[in-house]
Amino acid sequence: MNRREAIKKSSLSALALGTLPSLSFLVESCGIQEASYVPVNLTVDQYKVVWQIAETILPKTTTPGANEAGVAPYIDLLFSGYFTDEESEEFKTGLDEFATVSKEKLQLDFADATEQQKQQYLLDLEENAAPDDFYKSIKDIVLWAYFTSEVGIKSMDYKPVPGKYSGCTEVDMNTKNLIGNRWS
Amino acid sequence: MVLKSNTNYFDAIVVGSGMSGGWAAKELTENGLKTLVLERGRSITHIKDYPTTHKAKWEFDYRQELSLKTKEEYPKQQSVYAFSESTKHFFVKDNEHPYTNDEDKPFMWRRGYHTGGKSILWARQSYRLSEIDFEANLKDGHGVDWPVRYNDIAPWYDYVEKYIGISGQKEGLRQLPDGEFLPPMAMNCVEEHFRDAVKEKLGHVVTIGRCAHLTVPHNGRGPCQYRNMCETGCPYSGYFSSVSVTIPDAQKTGNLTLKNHAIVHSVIYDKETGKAAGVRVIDENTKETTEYFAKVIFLCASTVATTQIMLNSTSPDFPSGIANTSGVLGHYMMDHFITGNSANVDGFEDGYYDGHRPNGFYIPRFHNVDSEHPSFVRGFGYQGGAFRQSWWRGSLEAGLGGAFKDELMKPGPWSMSFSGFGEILPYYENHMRLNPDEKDQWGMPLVHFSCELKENELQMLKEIHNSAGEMVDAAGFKDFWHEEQPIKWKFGDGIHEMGTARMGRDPKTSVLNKWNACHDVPNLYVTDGSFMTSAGCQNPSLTYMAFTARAANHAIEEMKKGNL
Repeated sequence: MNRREAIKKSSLSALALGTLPSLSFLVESCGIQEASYVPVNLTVDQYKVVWQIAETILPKTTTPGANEAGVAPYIDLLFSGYFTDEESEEFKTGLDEFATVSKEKLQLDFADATEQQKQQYLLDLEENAAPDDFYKSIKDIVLWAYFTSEVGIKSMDYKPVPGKYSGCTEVDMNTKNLIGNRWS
Repeated sequence: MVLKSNTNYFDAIVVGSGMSGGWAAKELTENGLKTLVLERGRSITHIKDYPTTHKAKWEFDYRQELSLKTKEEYPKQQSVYAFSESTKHFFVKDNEHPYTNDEDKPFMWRRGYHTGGKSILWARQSYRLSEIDFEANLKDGHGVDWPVRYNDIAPWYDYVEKYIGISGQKEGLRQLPDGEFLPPMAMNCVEEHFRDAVKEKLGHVVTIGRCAHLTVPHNGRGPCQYRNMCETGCPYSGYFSSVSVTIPDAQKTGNLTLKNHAIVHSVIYDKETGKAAGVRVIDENTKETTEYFAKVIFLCASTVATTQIMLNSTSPDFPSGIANTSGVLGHYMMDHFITGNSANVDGFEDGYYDGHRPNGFYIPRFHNVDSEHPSFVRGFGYQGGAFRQSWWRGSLEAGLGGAFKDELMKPGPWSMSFSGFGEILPYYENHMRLNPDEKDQWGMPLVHFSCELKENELQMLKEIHNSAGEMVDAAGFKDFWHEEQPIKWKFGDGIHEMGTARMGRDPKTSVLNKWNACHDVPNLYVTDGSFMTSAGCQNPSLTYMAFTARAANHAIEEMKKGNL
C-alpha cells in the first residue's frame, strides 16, 4: 500500500470549486444520513463526497458500514497533520472534480443516485483507473480508515493479548482476520 | 593533578546501559564492584515507562502511522521497521543529534538515548557465531585473525543464553552452533511445507527463529504473550532487554550507581600509570563537565558512540585517539546488508494461525560451508515468514460493496516474504571519523561516515536472490519477486554497525586484545559491536553479550590479581 504516494500522483487536473463555510449539516439521500459531523478541514461538499464514496465502497451488511466506523470524519482529520499540503490540495481537487464529473454523467448529484448507480459508477471508475488515479487513492484510504477503526477491528478477530501461539489452526466459514495492536 | 573526591570514585565505570552495558553492569556489581553506569539519555523504568504498550491502533491520531510532525523530527530514524507513532519515543530526534556522511555514501545511524538503549528495540534474533566465522579472516585473508576461537566463547554463550532465555530448535549445524534453548516457537502450515520441501529438494535447513523470547516462564519472567508489541516495551517481560533484566539485577546488588543525562566526552588517560583514569562527562541538561574515576572502564556506548568517544580522547601519547597507536580505530566498519524476496502460495486455505508470533523462520547460511562459491567469500542467511493476506489486499483487488467488505474480513491467500542478511567484509576504507568542522550542542565533534558495499557484497546479493528463487520453486510457490539492484538498503540500515575498534592478535593492526581490553591501555575494555573482527551474517547482539560477560569476568580476575 502506498496511500500517500498514490495520492501524491493523483492524475486529475485541477478544478477548483468555491468553498463553502463549514456549517453543521444533515443531508438525507436514499435514507442514509450523513450524520451530524461538522467537517473541520473539508468543505461540506467535499465531505459529502467522501461520505458517499466510503459508504458505497463499504456499506453496512451484517457488519457495520464505513460511516458507522467513522470513516468520513477520520478522513477529514487527515487533512490536518497527516497529508502534506500538496497531498491535501490534490485530494481536495480530486473530490471537487469527482462531484462535478459525476453530476455531468449521472445528471444528478452522486448522493442522489441509487445505490446501484453509485456502485456501477465507482466500478467503472476503478476499471478505467490508472494505479495513481484519485479513485484508487480514496479507495485505499477508505479501506485503511475502516479496517483500522475500532468498529472495523472489532468486526474481525481482534486479539490484543493472545497469550499463546498456534501455528496451524483450522479455518471455517466464520473465521475472520486475526488482528492485534501492532503497527505494521 | 586531578583531585579524586570520594563521590566521583568507583571501582568500575560502564559507559552505556544497553545490550552490552547492562551485562557489564550486572557482572561487575554481582562481583562486588561499586559500579557507575553512565547513560546519556533519560531514565526509563521497566513497565512504568512503556506508555503505548497497551494502546490500540484507533487510539492514535493516525492509527500508528506517522504524522507530518513525526516525519519532520525523525527523517532518518523513521524508515526502520520498528519505528511508529507507538515507538518513536525510543528513538532520537535526528535534528537534535546530527551526523554527516560522504554525499555519495549515505549512512543511517539509528539510536535510542535512554536507559536500555536499543535493547528495548532490537529484533531479538539470537544466533551464535561459529568456528567458520572465527576462522574466516585467517582463511580468506580479509581483515585480521580473530584472537579467539569458538571454544573460547562457547561457555559464555551458554551462560548468557541460560540467563536471558533463548527459544529455538537444535539443528546440529557446523555453521550455526546450537545453544541452550527454551522450547521453540511453532511454524505455521505453509512454513512447515516450505521447510520440508527445501530440505528434501535442496538440502537446506529452514528452522524457526532463535529469539530472546520466553516461550515458558524463565527466571521469574514471561512468558511471551504473543502480542508482537515488543518494541513498545514488554510489560510481561516476555523478551530480553537490559531495562527489564540486567539493569534491575545490577540494581539489586546495591553496588550500582546509574547516572542518566551523562554524555561521555572522553576517556582520561593517566600517563604515569599507563592506564585510563576515568571519564569526562557532560551533563545533558546543564552542559557542565564532571570527571569520574575508576580502576576499570568499560565502553559499551554502541559501536559508533564508543568509537567517537575514543577518537575524541586525545593526549600527547594518543594524538589520534586513545589506544589508537595502530591507527585502525574508526576503520573496518561493517554492518549486515538486507534484501527482500517474496512469493505467493496457492492452497492451504483451510489453515491459519492463532497469535501474533514475534518471530519468523531462519535459513542458516549454506554457501561457503562445505564447498566454495565461485563468485564470493563468506555467506548469508535468510529471515522471513509466511502469512495470510489480511484486509489490505482490498487495495490490490478490484471491487466494492457489501460482499467485497465481508470477504476482506476473512483471511486471504497465503504469501511468504523473506530477506537475505549478508556478511560485509572488513574494509579499511569503510570508516567513521570525527568531523573537524562541526560539533553538536554539547561540544562533541560530529561523527562523519564513509562506508559502502563492494564487489564481494554485490556478488553475494545476486546469489541471495538466485538461491531464494530456487527455494520458492522447490516449495512450488508462485510469483517470485526479489528486490532489484541497487537495493534500498543503506549502510547502517542493518543496525548492526560494528568493527571500528577491532580485536586482534597484533597491537599494530588492532585496538583490542583477546579479552576486549585495549592493547595500549589495559584497564580500558570495549565490549559493544566495535570489537568485532568480522561480521558473520548472524544477528550480533548475543555475541556482544557473551563477549561482555567474558570480558567483565576477566577484568574481575585481573583486579583480584592486582593487575588493574
